[in-house]
Amino acid sequence: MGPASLDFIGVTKRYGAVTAVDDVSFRCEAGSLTTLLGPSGCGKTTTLRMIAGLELASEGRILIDGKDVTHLSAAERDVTMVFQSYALFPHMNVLDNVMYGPRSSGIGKAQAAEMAREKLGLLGLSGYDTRLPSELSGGQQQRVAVARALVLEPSILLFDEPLSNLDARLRRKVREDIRALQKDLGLTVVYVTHDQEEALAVSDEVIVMSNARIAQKASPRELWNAPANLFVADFIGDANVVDGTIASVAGDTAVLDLAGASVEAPARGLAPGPVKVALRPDALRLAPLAASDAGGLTGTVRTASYLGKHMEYEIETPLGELFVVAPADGDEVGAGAEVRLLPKGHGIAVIPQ
Amino acid sequence: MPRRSKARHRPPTDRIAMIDRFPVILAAAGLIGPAALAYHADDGTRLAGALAAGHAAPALGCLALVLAAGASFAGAQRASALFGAVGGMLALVAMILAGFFPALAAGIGFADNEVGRPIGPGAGILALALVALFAGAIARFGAFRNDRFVSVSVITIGTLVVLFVFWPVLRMLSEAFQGESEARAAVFLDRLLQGDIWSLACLWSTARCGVAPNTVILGILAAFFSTTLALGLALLAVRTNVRFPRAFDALAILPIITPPFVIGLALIVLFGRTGLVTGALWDWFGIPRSRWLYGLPGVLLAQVLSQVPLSFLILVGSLKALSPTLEEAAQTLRATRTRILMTVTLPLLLPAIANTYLLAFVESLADFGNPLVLGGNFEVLSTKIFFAVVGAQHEPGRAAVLAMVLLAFTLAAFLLQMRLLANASFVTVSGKGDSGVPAALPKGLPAGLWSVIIPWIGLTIAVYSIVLIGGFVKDIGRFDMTPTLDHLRTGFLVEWTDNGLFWAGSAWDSFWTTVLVSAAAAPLTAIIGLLTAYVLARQKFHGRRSLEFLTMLSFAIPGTVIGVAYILAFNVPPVEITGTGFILIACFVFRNMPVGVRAGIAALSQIDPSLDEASATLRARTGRTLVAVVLPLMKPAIVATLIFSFVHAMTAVSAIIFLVTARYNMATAYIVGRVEAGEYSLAIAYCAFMIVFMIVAIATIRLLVGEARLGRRGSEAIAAGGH
Ligand SMILES: Nc1ncnc2c1ncn2[C@@H]1O[C@H](COP(=O)(O)OP(=O)(O)OP(=O)(O)O)[C@@H](O)[C@H]1O
Ligand SMILES: [Mg+2]
Repeated sequence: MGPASLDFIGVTKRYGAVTAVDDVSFRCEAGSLTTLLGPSGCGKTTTLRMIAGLELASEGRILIDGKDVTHLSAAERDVTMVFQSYALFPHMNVLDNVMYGPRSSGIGKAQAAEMAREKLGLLGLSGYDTRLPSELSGGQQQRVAVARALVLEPSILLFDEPLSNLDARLRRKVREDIRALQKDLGLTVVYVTHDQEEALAVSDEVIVMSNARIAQKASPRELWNAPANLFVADFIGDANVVDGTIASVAGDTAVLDLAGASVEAPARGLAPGPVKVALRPDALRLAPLAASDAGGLTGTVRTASYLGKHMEYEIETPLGELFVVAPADGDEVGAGAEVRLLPKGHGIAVIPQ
Repeated sequence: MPRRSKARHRPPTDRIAMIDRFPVILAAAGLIGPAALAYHADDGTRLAGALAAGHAAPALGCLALVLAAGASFAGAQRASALFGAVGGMLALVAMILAGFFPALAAGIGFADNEVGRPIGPGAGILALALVALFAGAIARFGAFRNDRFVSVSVITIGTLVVLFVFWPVLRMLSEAFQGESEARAAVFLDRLLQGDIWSLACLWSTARCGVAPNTVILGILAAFFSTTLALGLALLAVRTNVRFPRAFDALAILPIITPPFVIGLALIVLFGRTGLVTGALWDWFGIPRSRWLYGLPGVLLAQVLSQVPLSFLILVGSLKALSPTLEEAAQTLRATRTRILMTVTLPLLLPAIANTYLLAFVESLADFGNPLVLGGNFEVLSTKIFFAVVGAQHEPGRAAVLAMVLLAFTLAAFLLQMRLLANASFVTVSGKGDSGVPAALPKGLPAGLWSVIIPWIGLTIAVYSIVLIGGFVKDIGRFDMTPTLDHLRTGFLVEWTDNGLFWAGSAWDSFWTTVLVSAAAAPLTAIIGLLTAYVLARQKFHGRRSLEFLTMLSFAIPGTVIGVAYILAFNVPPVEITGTGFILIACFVFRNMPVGVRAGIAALSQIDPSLDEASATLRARTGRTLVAVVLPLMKPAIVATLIFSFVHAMTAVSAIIFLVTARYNMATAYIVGRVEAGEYSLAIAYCAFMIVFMIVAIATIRLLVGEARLGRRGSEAIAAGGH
């Protein structure tokens, strides 16, 4: 049996008075990688643990491959998990750790060892069989944890912030490895992170959570270009959220009036009228105030920070203070300068309310 | 298509459809047990006899077991669970009715007489099987989050704790209200409001105080002195650069393996009217011999001597756990050494100090051996209880009232301690080893401490020297130091005869009984204690707090109280076990179980719960997780619990002095007998023999269980935090 789909139907989890997950419904397709993304305490880990069966839902139903598993314990679900702390058994060597799953399922020693060696090989860990977890580097420990979770070929594989104990450089490589493995083996993966770059980079779909509820579920591209609400617009990519007006709509394109400046953006089915608009930090270009092409916004630079590959500005405009990122290509301006901000033609989205 | 191995192993959901061996095994045990062993203890009737006599309880029990097992064989798991839950429940209710409410049971035809009959081991096995059957069955219906292992563990442990802790105490309380008169409250109040319990006359006259004030005053003083000395010792050990010799560690364990009254005995030899020091003082300085030792001073001295090492261990641990960063911060704020000690170190240590104090207080209240040996006319509750039971006028009702008073004191201290520990969270013990240098002690303090501590250490060494050599000289009481093996020979002579070894010594009987009972109790204590720790620390279920409270409660019950409670509860049907070895084992298991629970909870808090969870997601049921993952990581706690319960069983006096019989005499009871007969040398020789034996036993336990193998960075790997 291959990878399975996952359905949450109206799932709620309460801890006493705290509602950690509130009436959440979603579906993950078989063979896809879905990330749960959100600020601290929004209920990501709790959601993941309910998929694993480590917490039982207070309300609602959980289906794996269409079968109701709501009341099954972790040991009875075909789901494995890579823990944030890896949770390798410190008193067992690498091989015994990876063999643990098959042995618990009643598979004979020889066959379990063979299954374990296969997965260890897949993760480039052949030859480490007799090492104890304490004798491995953080990256190696992480791969042992992945091998251990893979060896049972679960319907669903879960990751809880798997990269948080790795250094920044290793993080990028490991996340690519996980994505490649997921695609090669066609696994259904649910992945928790609070790093949005990581989420956008590896996912087929991202579920943004906020206050125990789902704020938006979409592909990375859609999430960026068409945030469903203020929270998502604000949370993803540091967008500036400003007040504007839809002046007119032609087909799929709306013409917006932003404090007098006229810009175009996808209409997303909205009618003319006042609207909230998300401006990505890189949606605007800085030009000298004297430039002939009028339009855009004028503003005064409050702060300018040099970050090597780009500049970050805070600019006072009629729309309010805007956060703008521009290439550090030698045309930087300093604090106090008067500038004109021109739309680049992307990175502006109206937010449906 | 991605690569996948050929065999897909999918045990999960279809397990439920397989034959479930659990009810089958229980049925086998529950039927074979009473078939082979007595169902009724009085006439030895087995299961067949009980069924033939038409008793409802065994019949219902057999029916429930057979139906549950049969349904499981047939693959009907839900039916099996239904039979287990309903049938098991009904059978247990019938057993409880027949056992505890015989009059009522006889009325509805459940029992054949109105006074009830003692149950035998067979009935005990049947009852346990039914409890497990019932617990396993209700887990199928969603109890304990469907986790049968947890369900069976919690319900079985709960039943046993209720039977062996809660019920005896309850039984004892009810005894306090029973007397000649029908007016229960009057009987109780009359017993309670006696002058010899509450009188405070000693405060203003030469008359004696009641036992309750005596006990409390002794407890307060013993706790004060032992905590103060231990704190001084701990400051010297941790905060000065004196290297305490390694022998010091051994000294710390000695009091744990010495029978509690031995120190009192050694003090008599040193300071009694004819003691070594007393004699020397008379000979050299003309200080007259006196009986000052017998009474409050002697008991206090003995209790402080035995309590200091334990308090020292606790305080050293807390002192080491204090992060030096805080003291460094104070130093950078220009605080003087004295100011740092008074405003940072001691306040942070305060919860630990208070905890040590309360622990010493409870220990003093519960102590029976030293007041018995040294008390003289100074009576405390524990000895008074003892004499009310074994004395000339056998007064169980009065003993029960005294026991209630004692229990009230220890419970109050215990509850205070619980609150204190609950609020003590600001003593942060971070897993990360904070580096930093703790502040030095104020100038002059170390010297002052040494001047008190050195004589104290000298006294401790003198006391233990007496214990170690006293048995091997002719008469240490009269300072006749001619070496001899006579005393050892009297107690522990082994002869070769034609029929093989002959244990000729007079002490062998009690010694072997003690060893056997202790060796049987230790693993049981470890299993029950650590299992309880596991379900308390790692599982969520309704009634978790009550179970925790019940297990901790038995910690607060002094041995004398348990002793009285046991003889009152267990020398009548249905569980009539006084005079058997079983009651001794049960007594030790449930008295020492809280230590296992605490050690287990402490060990589990060091083990990242995601290890258990990882095991669960890898298809391991709770039982396997416990055996394969948790227990190997808890080895130090297992060793500690085994050692503690074994040693405590070997050296306990207070509870078992009520429970021993001629057939099952225990070493400590035998030694107390020798002391009362004035045979000090034999008593001391016996103690020395036991101490040596226990040291060997401890080394053996360490060797057998071994240490956890975790590699060089092991401790980090276990403690690696979760979220
Ligand atoms: N065992 C528990 N008891 C009580 N409340 C809990 C428990 N576990 C989680 N919570 C609460 O539920 C909410 C969601 O917690 P959760 O661990 O799912 O957050 P998260 O999204 O994973 O956060 P983070 O990114 O910080 O890990 C939080 O408010 C948390 O305090
Ligand atoms: Mg989390």
